Amino acid sequence: MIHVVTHALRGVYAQQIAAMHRMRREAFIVGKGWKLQEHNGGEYDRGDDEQAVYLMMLDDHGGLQVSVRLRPVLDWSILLDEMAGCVEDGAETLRRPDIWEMARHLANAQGRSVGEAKRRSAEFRVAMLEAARARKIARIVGSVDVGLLAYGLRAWLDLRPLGLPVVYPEGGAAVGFEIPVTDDLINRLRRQHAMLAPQAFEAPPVAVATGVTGAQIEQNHRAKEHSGVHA
Amino acid sequence: MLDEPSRSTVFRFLRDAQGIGTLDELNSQFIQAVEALGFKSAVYIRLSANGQVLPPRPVFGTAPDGWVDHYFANHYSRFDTAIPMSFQSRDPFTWTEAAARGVEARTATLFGEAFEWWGADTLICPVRGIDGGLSIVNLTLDRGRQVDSAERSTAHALASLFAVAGEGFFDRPEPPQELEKPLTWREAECVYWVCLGKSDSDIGRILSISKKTANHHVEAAKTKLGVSSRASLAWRAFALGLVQPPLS
Repeated sequence: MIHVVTHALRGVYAQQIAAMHRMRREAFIVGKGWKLQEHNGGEYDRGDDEQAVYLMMLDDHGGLQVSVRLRPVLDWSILLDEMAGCVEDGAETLRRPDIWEMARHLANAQGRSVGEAKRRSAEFRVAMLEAARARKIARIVGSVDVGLLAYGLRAWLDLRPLGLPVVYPEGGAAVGFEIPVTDDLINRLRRQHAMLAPQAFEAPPVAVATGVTGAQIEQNHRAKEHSGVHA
Repeated sequence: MLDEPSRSTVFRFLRDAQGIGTLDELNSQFIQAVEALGFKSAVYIRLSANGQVLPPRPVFGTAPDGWVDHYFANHYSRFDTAIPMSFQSRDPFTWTEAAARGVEARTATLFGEAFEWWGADTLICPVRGIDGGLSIVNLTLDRGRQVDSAERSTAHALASLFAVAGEGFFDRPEPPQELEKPLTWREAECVYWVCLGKSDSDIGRILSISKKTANHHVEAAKTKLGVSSRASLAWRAFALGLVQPPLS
């Protein structure tokens, strides 16, 4: 199960969101040396606003394992506004209401046994597509390190480069990409990884009023899975 | 800086490579695209699949007649510094750069002969796969030519598309065996940070555990994965599908 964290649900997932920003700082500012904004020990950018939808995979204690930010590109996006050179046909052609950007993708300790990280990574991809499809999003765009392009092509099946790589000032280079959000792609990925149930889970609005936490939602889901009842 | 027609040829391949119907057509269009960048020919070599290191034989593309037999007859893979560099590096590098890493006389002999047989230097582009595989695409170029970072990254992107599209015409390798003892979650967390190049001190700070405890988890993971160094641990974890890279 992958948690879909909208602005309305941030109180439920406050602990995980704080952990996500800390991990982002560790990976992007400390690890990659990118010059990004730092605040309260975490990394933030202008995309972390109320339009941002975070997807999160949690462990059985509610600890954050994988996260990504999905966000509309209409007013601002990393690809269209900071890395426009990655789009050969012109970044503005992508400034449409039915396009989301995926960014700040992080993963931590995904697998303990052979192939486990691969399965979990596939669950996360399917959840991203499900969450986007539910909001009538037609395409997800983003940028990937050139060294990971082959991985992205294989993992996403329908990923297409949007242009030639652009070299970062800090070193390395990125390629812009787009992924169509279609039932066909979702179904092929589900079949490929033998997924029967939907992967994305969005807590109902009542969760906010009840004071339930992300960890409790995860634990409740796991308990139901163990007892054979699917949420 | 690419001129407009060259840029257009390169982008067309990046955009369309996965829809090309035959390996011959793929080869032909790839060569056109890399020629636009000043490279001459290309060969695809699989180095590892499912965590197993493979003999570096060309799978598709063009190598000079007789070179592959000569390479294996002389056991050159033992002295070929380009092979460990391919496992360690995310970025493309040249034979000249790999030769400079060699300390054995046979390494100098290997690269001296390679330059002669191929009549060129080679840019080696490592291509990593979802099933823990590593392949390289070798692009030949004039000896002495300097390749800047924009050219390297563009060649790397082209090579990635070439490799992924080309592999679609071949059978996939068998899936890997299970680990005898799975990692604990703490070990898995430590392995993830080792893959990002973190020291035991860094890992201890990130996970709020002591440096000694972090080291204990890393050593336990090394034993379970049957490796002796942190670099091998990172590679093996990736190859076995224990760690998958985030995309953006």
